[in-house]
Amino acid sequence: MSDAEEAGFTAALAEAGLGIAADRRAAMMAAYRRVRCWSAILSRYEVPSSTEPCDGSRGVGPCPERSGI
Amino acid sequence: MAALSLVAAGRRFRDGSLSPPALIQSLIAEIAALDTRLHSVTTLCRADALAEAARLERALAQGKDRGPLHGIPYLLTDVIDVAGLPTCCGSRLRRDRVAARDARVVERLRRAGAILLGKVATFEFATAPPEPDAPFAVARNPWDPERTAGPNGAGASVAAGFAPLALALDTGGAARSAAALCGVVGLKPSFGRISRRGMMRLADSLDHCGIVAATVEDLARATEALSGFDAADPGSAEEPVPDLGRALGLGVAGLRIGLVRDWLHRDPIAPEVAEAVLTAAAVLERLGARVDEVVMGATELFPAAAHTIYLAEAFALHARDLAAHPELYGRPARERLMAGAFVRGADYVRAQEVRRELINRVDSTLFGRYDLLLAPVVAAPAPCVDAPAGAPGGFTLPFNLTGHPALSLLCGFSDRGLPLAAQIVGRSFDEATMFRAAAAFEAAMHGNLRRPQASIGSSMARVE
Repeated sequence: MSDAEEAGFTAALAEAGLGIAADRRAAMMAAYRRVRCWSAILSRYEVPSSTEPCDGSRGVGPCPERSGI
Repeated sequence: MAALSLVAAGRRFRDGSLSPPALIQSLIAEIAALDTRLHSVTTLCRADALAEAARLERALAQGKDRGPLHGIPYLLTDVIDVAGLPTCCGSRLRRDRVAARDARVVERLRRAGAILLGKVATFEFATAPPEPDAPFAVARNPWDPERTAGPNGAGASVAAGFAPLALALDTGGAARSAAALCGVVGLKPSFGRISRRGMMRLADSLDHCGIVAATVEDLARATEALSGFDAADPGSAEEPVPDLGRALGLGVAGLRIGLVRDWLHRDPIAPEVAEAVLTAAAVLERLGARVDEVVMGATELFPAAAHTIYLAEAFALHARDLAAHPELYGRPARERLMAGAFVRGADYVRAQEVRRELINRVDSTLFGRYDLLLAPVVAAPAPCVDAPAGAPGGFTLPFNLTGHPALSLLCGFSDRGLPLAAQIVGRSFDEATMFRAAAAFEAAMHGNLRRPQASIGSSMARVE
């Protein structure tokens, strides 16, 4: 694990007030890497930049047809 | 007594050959005799169920018939509230919590005349198996008690004939995979179709009330009774309750079905599962449907978006307890839920953006051309309970993400005699077309509607 990954992993646990046993550290690090991997996959998907106005087709919010999604 | 479907039991109540109390008595006896090997039932409401059955028997004699579910026993996974009963969620953290009021689904089933027989086992917070020394059981598979029954006891209890109906939380596919592994029928309705008020929250935008039943018609009757808008559930949709009974006899002639080809080749799906789904496609084609191979695609985006949302929403609900009482969680659940701490806010929002795009893509690309999709449910038959990988991976979570209705049904058996299942997926709020195909398929495969009597020593042989 890189220093940056190590720092991110430790900071996320500390911020949430969570502790882990030493013998579970490797398993939780694997979970951390999976989450970061999903983040990388999602980041390849193009979302509107901050300069684009809302065109009504994107964005997160309640949907009248399928409220909640 | 032979195992009864909901519909068959109702018919016998009305012709006088069976009474609700007699059915409850026989089921209690079956559970006492057989569940020692399956560990599916965690709470049995013996006295209340018998008293309610006697009341409903009198009502029927007086001509007060509440419909298809009148006098029908059902089971709830222990994540659904019943006033006065504990809802433990398979966790020490919730062991002393007694529900103050009924979940909406319990209210609706009671109004329909159904009788709560008891509660069935669940993974801890419906997310991970309990530790071996936990005071909570893991349900075993009635086809082979050395094998898993999935994340809850709904499939095992229905397959064993303990009740024709059971409800479970379906956040990533728990109801459908439990049904698939145990050879019965399972439904995740459209998001918003059935109220979740009074059900445990795991991941709000993925949580659905799932139904497990003995037959497709039973599933249809239960879905009709449970559906409807509920202002107390922020995800509830104002959609009319579907007439599924009418759909059951329509057949599949003229329906266009997309067989999700890329999922049949995805590693590590078991060849016998892929083969069974292809056989199901051939049966539907023979019955008059047009089946084409389609590609779902987005192989990485679906799991990335779904797991990011799942973990973030579940962590939001558990963050405080994980920090304050980590020792009250079993290790598998604690570690699974803690992983949500690694999801950043921007990732969650991006995952929701991707979700919208995937919904649009499925709606326009697939449901623009096809009435239904056909896909596997789980990647392999039920593994041994102590298998290192646990339950097999599945193909259920994408439809929790998109909100489309999905139905799991038995379509064959493995070389070892374990059930294999296929998943029929419909357009949002078009459960009727999905039931149309499921009923036609079930009728064509009638010989498959058998019970796992050999493995658990039950007197039951077939679904009547």
